[in-house]
Amino acid sequence: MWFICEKELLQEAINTVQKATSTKTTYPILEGIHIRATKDNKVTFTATDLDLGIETFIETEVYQEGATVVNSKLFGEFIRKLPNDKIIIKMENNNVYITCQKSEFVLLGNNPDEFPKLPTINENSMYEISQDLIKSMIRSTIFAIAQEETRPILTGVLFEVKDGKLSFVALDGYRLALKRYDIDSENEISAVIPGKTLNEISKILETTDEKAKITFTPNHILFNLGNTKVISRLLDGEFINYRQIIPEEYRLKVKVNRNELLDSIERASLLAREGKTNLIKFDIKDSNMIITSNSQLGKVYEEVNIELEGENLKIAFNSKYFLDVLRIIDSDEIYLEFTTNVSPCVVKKCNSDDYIYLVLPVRLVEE
Amino acid sequence: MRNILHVDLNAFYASVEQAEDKNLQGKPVAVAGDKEKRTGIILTASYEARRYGIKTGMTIGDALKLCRDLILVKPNFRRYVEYSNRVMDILRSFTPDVEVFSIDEAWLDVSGCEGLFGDGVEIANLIRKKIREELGITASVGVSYCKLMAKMASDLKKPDATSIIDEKDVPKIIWPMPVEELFGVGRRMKSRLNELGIFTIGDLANTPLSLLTNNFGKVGRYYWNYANGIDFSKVESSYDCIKGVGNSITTPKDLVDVKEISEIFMVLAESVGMRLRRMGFEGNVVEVVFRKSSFETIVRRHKVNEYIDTTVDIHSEALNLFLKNWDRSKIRLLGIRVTGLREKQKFEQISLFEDETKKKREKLDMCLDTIREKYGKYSVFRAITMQNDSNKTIRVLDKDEWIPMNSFNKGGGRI
Repeated sequence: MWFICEKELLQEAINTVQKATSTKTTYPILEGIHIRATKDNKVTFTATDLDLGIETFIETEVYQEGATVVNSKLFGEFIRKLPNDKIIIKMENNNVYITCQKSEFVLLGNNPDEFPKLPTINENSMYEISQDLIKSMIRSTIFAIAQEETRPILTGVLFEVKDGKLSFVALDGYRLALKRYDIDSENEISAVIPGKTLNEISKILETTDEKAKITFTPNHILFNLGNTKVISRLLDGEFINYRQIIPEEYRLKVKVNRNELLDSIERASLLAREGKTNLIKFDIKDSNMIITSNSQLGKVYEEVNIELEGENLKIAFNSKYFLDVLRIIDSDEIYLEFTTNVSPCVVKKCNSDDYIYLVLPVRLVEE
Repeated sequence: MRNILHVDLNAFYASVEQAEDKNLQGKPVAVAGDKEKRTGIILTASYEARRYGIKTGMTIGDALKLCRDLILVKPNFRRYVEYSNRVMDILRSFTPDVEVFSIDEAWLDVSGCEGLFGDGVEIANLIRKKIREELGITASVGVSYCKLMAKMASDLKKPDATSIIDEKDVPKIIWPMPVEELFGVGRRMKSRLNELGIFTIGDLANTPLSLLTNNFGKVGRYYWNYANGIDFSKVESSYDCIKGVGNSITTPKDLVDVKEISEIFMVLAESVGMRLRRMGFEGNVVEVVFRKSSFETIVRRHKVNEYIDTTVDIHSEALNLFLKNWDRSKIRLLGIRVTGLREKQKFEQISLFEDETKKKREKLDMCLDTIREKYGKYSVFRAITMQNDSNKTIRVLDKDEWIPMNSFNKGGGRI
């Protein structure tokens, strides 16, 4: 193997695939990046942790074909610290020589045959969706996935296409986030993508209209972004029937400015956080919503102007669950729909129905 | 030179009962579990009862054989906690540096308070007077230059006395004592020391340090330091931020059977859980300690996703953690500790998947706690603890008793 390539190009490829390298593994080869140079002047980089696999290629001058596996961390760090110039990578016996200007780094290469192959998938590009959109759908939902493994299926995001709508749904038992978008496709599907995969892919996706081609198999999802392919295992099992959870009706509806509410809750949560509880209380009364919070260190009182439809209500929440949604929701005015102080609150945008967030309140135990 | 006091409340439970009920004063009184069954054990005996040879840990039956007129009183823990709190308040009126060691013991660092109240001995006498006059119970106070010797001093003379150990007095007062009187030396350690020809604390102090470290590792150094009266540990006023609630117990026999181990964990979880709930705390870190028959001691901790305080939750977290770290070797000591404490919340996040069983578990604990508070700790058992008679053979102390002293176990060294 022998090729020459610009540092920036190489660095980008490494950054991309490194997102799939295992850090904690009992299988040391997975700590490496698989590099393959081919005669058509392509160098392909692959990394995987067996759940998630990323493959990307660059076009450059290849003088000699070949393949090897090098330690991802060392290789990546060394390349990153090199000056912006051409880098020569050449393998002799089992040693990989990396040369740039006056630096030479020799890394021990591993047997490329030991590196697990990514699953072979026949690409049918079931869906073509703009990278921008996928990114925003991930961002709007991923924070609501479960962090605990008690219900493994909830550590992923539901990817659902039904009745001409593409929906991303995440829920952790205490809240639910649903982002949907009209899609022109006859293919219906329901699959659960691991949260980790989506986190990594959202870093690779670019803010561009360019489409990502998505292929599903019964066990895998493949994102094709042109030079880069991301393959991930899907989570096993049925997702929770989320439609049942979202209430159709409400007893009161509050219209409020997103920024004002966000700022108030941010301040109130300073104290809520101190008490390790995150507890904030809402007192919704006529044209005001009073937000209070207290801990041993002090207390906060906040008033926010609202437009109220329906009766008054006192209700308490974990402030984090509100902050998460208020930080990402892209609408200046929002609706909060309530029924009782022990049933879910639904957050919606005033200008569009493409986003629904549901959060369960905190029950105050009387002394 | 520091000025450290150790306050030890004499025959605490029994004294409280005598202070509350004048008819009991001057009479042999014992606070004990279940007197109907005669199998309960004596928790504390009054000084009058001790004259008959009645000791803590004795069964009620045996105690009655020694003294037919013994008055048995059921424990009333809430009352003891109240008295203990009042004692600690008295201590804090002298200095904020009060380290509460257990319900009836505390250290004070009064260095620098001499200008206010007089020297260590004068403060000790003032404390005893205040406790006696305000609460009607007595305390022994040790005055010394370090925590260890203050504690040894408070044991010298009981009840209601002040004893002093100066640095230069250590060889004269402490060295002639049998080695098991030294803080941290248990039955097992005693016999291992005896095997080396060490019978008194003086023997231990004059043994070459290398011999001890060769035999006991770094723990040997602690013992040697203690025997020589070397202790630099600080009085840590930790009452307001109790770090954890724990219990450990040396099992009656070596264990390998998971079921038996699980049973003992249940007994421990009940004790830890009850104290946790009584104090109004919940915690999100569970620690287990286990000692193999080889004396290797392993401590492991695990963060729980939510805050817990029910017996069943504590048991299952502890058991799982233990099973993850156990190599199937024989076990001679088990312990559970819950840390990461916060005040029990008066509210609860509603979930889409409401855990109905949690309510039941909480109710069950509440019932058991109430019954036990009223009728004694051994008045009701979980059936699971009866399979191997753990309900009878395992007696967990009603106070915090983790591993003898934490410095011994840093890095999980041998004990």
